Amino acid sequence: MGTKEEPRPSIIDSLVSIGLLVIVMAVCLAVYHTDPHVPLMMGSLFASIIALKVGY
Amino acid sequence: MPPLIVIICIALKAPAIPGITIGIIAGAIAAFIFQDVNFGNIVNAGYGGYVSQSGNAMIDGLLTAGGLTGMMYSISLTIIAMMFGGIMEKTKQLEVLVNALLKKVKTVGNLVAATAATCIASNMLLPEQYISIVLPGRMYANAYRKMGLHPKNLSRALECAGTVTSPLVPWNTCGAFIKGTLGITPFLYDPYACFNYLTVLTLLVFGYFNITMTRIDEEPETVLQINQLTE
Repeated sequence: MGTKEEPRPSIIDSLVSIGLLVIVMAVCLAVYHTDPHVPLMMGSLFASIIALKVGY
Repeated sequence: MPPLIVIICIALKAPAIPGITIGIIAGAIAAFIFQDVNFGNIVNAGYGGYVSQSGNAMIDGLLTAGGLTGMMYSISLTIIAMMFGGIMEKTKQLEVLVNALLKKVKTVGNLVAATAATCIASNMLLPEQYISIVLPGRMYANAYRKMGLHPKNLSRALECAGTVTSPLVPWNTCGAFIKGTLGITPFLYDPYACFNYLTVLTLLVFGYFNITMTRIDEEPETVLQINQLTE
């Protein structure tokens, strides 16, 4: 019985996650002067969506 | 009395959590005996901290502090940063990035330099100091382990490159705090902030010349295994 291989994201997927976090942090902190907590949670959400797209 | 007890615990090399807990209990006992406060006030101070009501706004600002809520800003941010790092790590997104970064990293010096560069880039791109410490920490933990380096080397690299460079960036929360408090932009004091540059430089020199770069096999008893961390 073979084990199910874990999906592997590409470098582009990883960069999209980081890039979206950078954008949402920059907009919230620099433009709206918010605390970093919620933008960071939004970044986590984007990273989760990328993970779902990859196959997790 | 409570600070003295904590200092004695430190001098006796007691572990941090029991030492601080003894200090807290001593503080509660002192408050009960000398300040005539009831148990409810002590418990509330433990959660909300001490609220000074001297009438002088500056003194109140200085003395109003402590409690669980006083630390919640940084603690909650660290938890959320760990959440982001955890998702990136478990779904191998971090591994893919680190592998790309570590392709040319063959020496201890290069690994330290890569850590420092990632911390500085994080401070500039993800403008929050805590994230620039937590995220590179998770990124490079395995790389340090694979090279046989004690985790305290990574801890030092994160402090030297992540903590001290954040006030140099005007759009980082540290730079913004200093601008709001002192009224000057970091660009004005950056040329004179020698400590902040020299710490990074010292880190790189120590890394490339292998100075105080402790190996795991020198202090194996102080290194927790991965399964101990996740228990």
